[in-house]
Amino acid sequence: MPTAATSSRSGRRLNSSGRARRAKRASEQRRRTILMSAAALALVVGAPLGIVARMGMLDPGLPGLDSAKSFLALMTDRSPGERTKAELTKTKSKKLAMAAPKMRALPKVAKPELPKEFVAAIAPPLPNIAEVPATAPLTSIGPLLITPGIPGAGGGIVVPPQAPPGGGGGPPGPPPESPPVTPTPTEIPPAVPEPGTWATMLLGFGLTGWMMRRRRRTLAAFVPE
Amino acid sequence: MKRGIVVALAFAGLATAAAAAWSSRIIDRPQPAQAKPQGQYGWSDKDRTYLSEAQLLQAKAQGQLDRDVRSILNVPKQMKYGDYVWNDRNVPQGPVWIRVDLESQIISVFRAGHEIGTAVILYGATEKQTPNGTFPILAKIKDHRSITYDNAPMPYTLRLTGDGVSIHGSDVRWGRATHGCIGVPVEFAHKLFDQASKGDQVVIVTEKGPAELAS
Repeated sequence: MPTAATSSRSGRRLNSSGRARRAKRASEQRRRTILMSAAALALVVGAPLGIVARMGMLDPGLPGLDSAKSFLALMTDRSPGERTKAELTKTKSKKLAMAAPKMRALPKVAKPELPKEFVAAIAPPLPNIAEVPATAPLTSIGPLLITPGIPGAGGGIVVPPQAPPGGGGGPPGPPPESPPVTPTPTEIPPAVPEPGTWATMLLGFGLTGWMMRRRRRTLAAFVPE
Repeated sequence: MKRGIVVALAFAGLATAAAAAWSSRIIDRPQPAQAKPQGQYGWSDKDRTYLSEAQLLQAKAQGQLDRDVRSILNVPKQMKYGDYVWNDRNVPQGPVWIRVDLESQIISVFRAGHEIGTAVILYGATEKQTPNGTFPILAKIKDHRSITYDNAPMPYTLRLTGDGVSIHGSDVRWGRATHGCIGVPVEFAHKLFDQASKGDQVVIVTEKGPAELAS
C-alpha cells in the first residue's frame, strides 16, 4: 500500500515534471535576483554611509551618555586617579629628554694616548711666527688647529691658536668638533591617510573599474567572433 | 538592471565625493563653538562635550569650577601618566585660563570657555606641597633652568608665585612628585606656553571643597 502511494506520487511528479521544474527554476531565479539586488543595495548604500559615519558626520544632536554626567565625573573619568605613591623623587634630573640637544652619536675612536715625555721629545718646537717660511708644510704642526683661509693665501702667517705655552707640545688634542647641528623640526605627515584621501582613492578605483568595464563591453561589440 | 547598477555606482561615487569634499573642508562646516545650544541639556559631538547650565551650576556648587565653562574635550579613555589631549579646532580666540586639579592629577586649558587641552600632571610631594588658589601667570620663560634645584631644566616655564612655583615641562611618570611645581608633558607644555600669556589665571583646585578654593 505505501509502495503504491509512492509510486503514484512519483508518477504524477514525472507527468508534470516539465512545468514544475520550470516553475521551480523561475522561483529560484527570482529569489536569487532579490538576494543579489538586496546585497548590492546594502553595499551601495552602506559603503558611503560607513565612510560618512567614520568621518563623524552622522553625529546625532541627541545628548550622549557623557552629557548626562557631572563635570566632576567627567574629570574623574579621564584622570589616572589619586596619587598613591608620593615620593619626592627627583624629576628635575639632568637627563630630561627634551632639554638635551639632540645629536647623532658619533662612533668613538679610542686612540691610545702617547706618553707625555715621548710627545714632548718628538713635538717640534713652537715656531716663531716671524720665522715661519712661506713653504712650511702646514701639516707639520700636527693636530693643532690651523686658522682656515691662510694656506690658500700663498704663505704668510700661520697662527696656531691652541699652542701650549712654552712650546711643550702636549698630548694630541681632540679633533676639532664641528658645531652641533640643531635638528630642524620637520612636519611629519600622518601615517594613515585622511578620510578624504581614502574617499578620493576609492572613487578613483570605482571610476577605473567602470571605465574598464565599459571599454571591454564596447570592444566585445566591435570584435567579430 | 545594468543601468540600475551604473546609477547606483554613480550615486555611491557622488556620496563619496561629497564626503571627501566635506572632510577636506571645501564645504563650510557648521562651527560647533557657535552652534552651541544654550539649553537645559548638555550634548556632545565628536570632539567635545558641551556642558548644560545644570552641570555648570553643579560644578560650581561643588567647588570644581569658579567660572563659566562651555565645553570640555572628549577624552576617550582614562589618561595615563604622560598622556595629553590637545584640540583647539574651531575654538575661537578668547581669554585663556588654566584649571589644575591636584587630586585627580589633571590640568585643563580653557580658551573662550572651551577646553582646548588636558593632561596628566605631577604636583608637589607632601613635604613640598603645591599651593592652591588662583594665581596669575607672572612670567614666561622658555628655556628655564632651576636656580634652586641643581640647574635642572624646566622647559616652557609659566611662573605662578614669587617663590618659584610654576607650570613647566617634565617627565611625567607614575610615582613621581615635584618640589611644588606642576609638571606637565613637555609637548603639552610647549603648546600651553604658546597659548598662555602673562596675566592669565591659573586656578589650582583640590577636592577639599570650596572653602579651600577660596583661600
